[in-house]
This record gives sequence, C-alpha cells and structure tokens, in this order.
Amino acid sequence: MNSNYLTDRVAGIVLFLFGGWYVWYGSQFESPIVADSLGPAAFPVMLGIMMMGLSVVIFLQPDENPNWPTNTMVWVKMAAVILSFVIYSQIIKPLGFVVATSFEMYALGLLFDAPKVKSLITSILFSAFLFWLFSSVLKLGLPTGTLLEPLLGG
Amino acid sequence: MEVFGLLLDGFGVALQPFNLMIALVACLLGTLIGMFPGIGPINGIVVLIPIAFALNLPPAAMLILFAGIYYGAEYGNAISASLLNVPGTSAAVLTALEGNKLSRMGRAGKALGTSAIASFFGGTISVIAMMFFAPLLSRWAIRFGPPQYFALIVFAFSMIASLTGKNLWKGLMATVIGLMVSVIGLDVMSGIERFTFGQLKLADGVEFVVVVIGFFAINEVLKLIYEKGDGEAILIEEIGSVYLTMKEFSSAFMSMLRGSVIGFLIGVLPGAGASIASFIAYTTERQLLQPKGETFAENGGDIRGLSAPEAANNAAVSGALIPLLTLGIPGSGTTAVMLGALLGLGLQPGPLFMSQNPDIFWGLIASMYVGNALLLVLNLPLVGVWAKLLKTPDWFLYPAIVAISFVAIYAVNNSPFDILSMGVLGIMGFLLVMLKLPLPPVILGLILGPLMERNLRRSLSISQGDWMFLWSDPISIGLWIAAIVSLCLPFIIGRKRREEIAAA
Repeated sequence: MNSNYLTDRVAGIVLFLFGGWYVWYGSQFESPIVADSLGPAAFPVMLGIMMMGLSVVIFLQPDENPNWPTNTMVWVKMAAVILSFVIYSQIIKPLGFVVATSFEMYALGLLFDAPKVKSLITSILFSAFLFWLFSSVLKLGLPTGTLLEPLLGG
Repeated sequence: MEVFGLLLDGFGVALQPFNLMIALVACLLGTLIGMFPGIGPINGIVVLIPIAFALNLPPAAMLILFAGIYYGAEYGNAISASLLNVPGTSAAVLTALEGNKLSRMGRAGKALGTSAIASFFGGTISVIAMMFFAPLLSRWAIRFGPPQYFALIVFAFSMIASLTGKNLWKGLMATVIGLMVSVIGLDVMSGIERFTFGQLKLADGVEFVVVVIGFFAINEVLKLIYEKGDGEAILIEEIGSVYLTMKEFSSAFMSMLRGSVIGFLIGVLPGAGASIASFIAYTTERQLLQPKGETFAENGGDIRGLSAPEAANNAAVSGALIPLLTLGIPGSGTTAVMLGALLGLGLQPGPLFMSQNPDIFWGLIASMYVGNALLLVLNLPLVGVWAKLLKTPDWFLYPAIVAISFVAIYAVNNSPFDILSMGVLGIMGFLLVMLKLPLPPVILGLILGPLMERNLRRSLSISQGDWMFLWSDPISIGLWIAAIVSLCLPFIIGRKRREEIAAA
C-alpha cells in the first residue's frame, strides 16, 4: 500500500467509526411531543449515515498528497502552542492580562524564530497597549491580576 | 422611485457621526487585514464579533463594521499582492500575477492605483446592483415555506462543497461535520438535550464565537508556524506615482466594468465568492483580447489584467451580502459568520428583513457607498504607509493576532476555560486542514444546521410524514435540480478549470 494514501485511509476508518457511534447515540433520542412527526433522532441519524458513506469514499479514493506533516518538529511545536494556552488560561486571573499575554506573545514569537530581546520588549509593550485600549478606552474589563492588585495598591 | 427615498433615509443613518466613524475604522482595519498574507476578512470579522458584542454596538453599526472589513479587505489584498507577490487573500492570486509584474518594472504605484480604482468601480457598481436586486429577491423569497427553505439550504451546501477545496467528497464531509456539531445542545422542537452528556455548558450548543475564532484565527497562526520557512518574499519598495493617466484609465475602463458585472453575478451564487469571480473575470478579459490578435503584455504586467479581477473581487462582496440579507442563507464562510453575529443580536435575516429593518438595510447600503469612496480617497495617498506596514515581521504580527483573539474570547464571558477550548479547536481546525478538509463548509454547516433541521421537520409535520412534499412544487424542484447539477460541476469543469489555472 502506498504510504502517501495512509493519512486518508486512517481518517476514513476513524470517521467511519465516529459516524457509526453518532448514529447509535443519535437514534436513542425520543420526543415527548406527538405532533413532531420526524422527531429529534432522524436528523442526527441521517448525518451519521452520510458521514459513514463519505468516509468509505475517502477510504477508497484517498488523496495522493496529503498535507499531513511527517516532520516530528511540527508536532512538537503544536504541543508547545497548546501548552502555552494551558499556562495562559491558568495565569490570566492571578497574574493578570498584561503578564499572561506578554508571556504568550513571547512564547509564540520564539516559534517564529523571533530575536529574543526585541520580541520580549514588543510583547510587553503590545500587551500593555491592548490592556490600555480595551480596559481603559473601551471599558471591556480585562483582569488586572488578583496577585498583583495588592502591589498596585488596587 | 421608492428606492431613492429609502436610500436617502439610509444616508441619514450612515452619515451619523458614530456610524461614519465605524465605517472609517472598518475600512482601515479591512485594508490592514486584507493586506497581511494569511489573514483575510473572515479572521478579522470573527475576532471583532465578541468585541462588538461586548461594546454593545447597535445592529446597524455592527453590520457597517463587518461589511466594511469585508470589502476593505478586498482593497487591501492588492497591496501585498503587488508589492510582495503574495496574495493577501485568495481572491488576489491574479492581482499578484499582473500587479507584481508591474511592480517589478518599477510601476508599483500604477499597479496599486489601478487596483484601488478598479476596487472602487467593483464596489460601487455592485452596491447599485444590490440596491435594485435585493428587493426583487426578497419579494420572490417571501413565498418560501419550509420545503423551499430546506431545498435552498441543500443547494447552498452543495455549491460550497463542490466549489471550495479540490475534493468534492471532502467538501461534503466538512459540511456534515459542521452539521453534526450543530446538533449539540437543546433541541427546541422536542425540548430534549442532544449530545450534551449532561454538561450544562453544552445545553445552548457549542459557543459559536469560540469555534470560529479557534478555526479561523488560532488555526491560521498554527498553519503559519507549520508553513514557515518557504523562503522570504521580496518587498518592492520603489512605488512611484499612484495616479493613472487618462489614457491608462480609459484602456482599463471596460475591463473594470465587465469585472464588476461578472463579480456581482458570481458573488450572489452560494459557494462561488470572490476568488472564483476574480478568476472568471480575468480569463474573460484574456479571451476577449484573442479575436483582436492581442494578448496581455507579456513581461510588464497588464493594467487590464489587473483591473478585471480587482473589480470582480470587490463586486463579489456586495453580491454575497444579498443572499445573506434577503434569504438568510449565507453562501460563504465569511457571510456565515456574519449571519451568526446577526442571529446573536436577535435579528433573523430573510425576506422580511429589509422591510422590517429599513434603517439597518439601507444604512448598510449607504455606508457601502461612503466606505468605497473613503477607501479610494484614503488608499492612494496612504500607499506608502501600507507598504511600510508590510515590513512588520511575522514574529510580531502573528503572536499579536493571537493576543487580540484572547481579548476577543475573554470578552465573551470572562472565562479562562473558553481560551483553552479555543486553543483545542484551533488544533482541531489544523488537523482538518492537514486532511485537506475545507473549513468554510464546516462553519456553514454549524450555523445553518438548526435552520435546516427545523425546516425539514416542519415540512414533514405539514405533510404528515410524506417525504414527497419536499419536492412537490416548482421552486423546490428547481432548487433540488440546481443542487444536483452543482454537485456534478467538479466532474464536468474540474479538469478544464485546473488546466486553465495552471496556464494562468
């Protein structure tokens, strides 16, 4: 089997199973209302069946040149991005928008091969600018940071 | 001439200082968004939706903002196309071809001037067409009942599945994925929860803004990290005069006119949009030259070859707004996202939208006249500024977009959890792109899913379960036939078009 086809074959199998699960789960919905002749189950069941049919087509007619990256570096970078989002969601409340966003911009900048010092400065300046624009001018109320507030006298 | 009275009222709305300011901001932001490669109007609009909601913008202002970004981006895309040879949006591929040739000959100014004037032509002519065509379509669609709406949605899905991306099956699959996600949440007709797994957060369905920002802003940045290192594009800094001579203008005049008409007509069709409009306008111009024994100037770039696609991609924007506003059925990812925003405001676009909200509809039309004029006036003198902004390094630009997306998401309901969901959805969007599944059909499915199911179930309630009712009248039958034909399109024109694109 041509390894170029592998991506679509695997996707076909996974999506077929997903479609099957969707049909099974969806078929259990029941309406308490009699006037609704089609009921809440028919539409999801139809979609699940379509998904199963389409995944068979994809399996039998896979694309020759998928985009799927074989370079593991790409996946390491994607994992790094996710990790930075996890950290961001954890620190935004205690450390506030400016600190968290400076960190996020700097981390992402590194993935774009940013010059380290310049990128640190622009990340802080831009995060502060966004905070000023949205919090002070547009009054959207971004978190200042529960840990920092005592230091700022707030 | 009722139209002119309404238009005059529309100008009353559009020229209020606040709305005028919104239009100006939208045009400038649109130009910027269109200019930077990798981000287009859809990315700009999705990020601004939650911000606009949090700021409590009135509906007219919000529509003026989104439309301004949409057509402003079609002005901006010509700047990077000409100066960097990188199309700012997919609709500028041909602009890059002709415009960059002109720029390399030291006539970058002419390329940008031509693009701006052609965009103005396309924008203005199509707004005039929109003004007369939209009421007609509204009046026609007022007779639509559930079966006709169901058929119309099927038609929109088949068009977008067969025209976006290279593989029809993957287009359809993307649509089905969107529809499957749209089922999540409370079913309004029966009152039961579907696919929520008891999670309270899912009862209202997936948060549309979180999905679209994940899919179209975060995913875009991930894609750029992945594609990085394809070689730096060369920025042309010699711009020269942006003003066309009378002779140059008159040589391109007919091309602009034809491009505008083609762009508008194609823009109205679901799925086709600005990229296909600009492509057809370009090939039409080339074919018209053949009998005269002429071709586009080979090496220097041709003003005519630049005018037609630029006029067409702007005209397609107004065209695309028509089905959105008069039928409530968007034909593209960008208009689908706009529909999501309008529904969030409690507005239901459709045949009655124009007559029930004349201030919003005619205010929008008038603001589009104003916006196109603003863009023409601003773009020519500001060309030098835009060119300087193009030097913004990637390592600042794309992290900055993520930062702005975070502000937007945080504005929805101050929830760090949403930031995480958005990141996960961004990765999911990235995986779909890696599988070559196009994203616009997913969004269209997500937004139109509830409407589609509701119309199907209503139809069958009316007919007491008789499925034949779905294709029992001329309008539905016509739409079903159109849907089937559009699904066959990739097989009929697929190869020929691909060859033409390769030749162009």
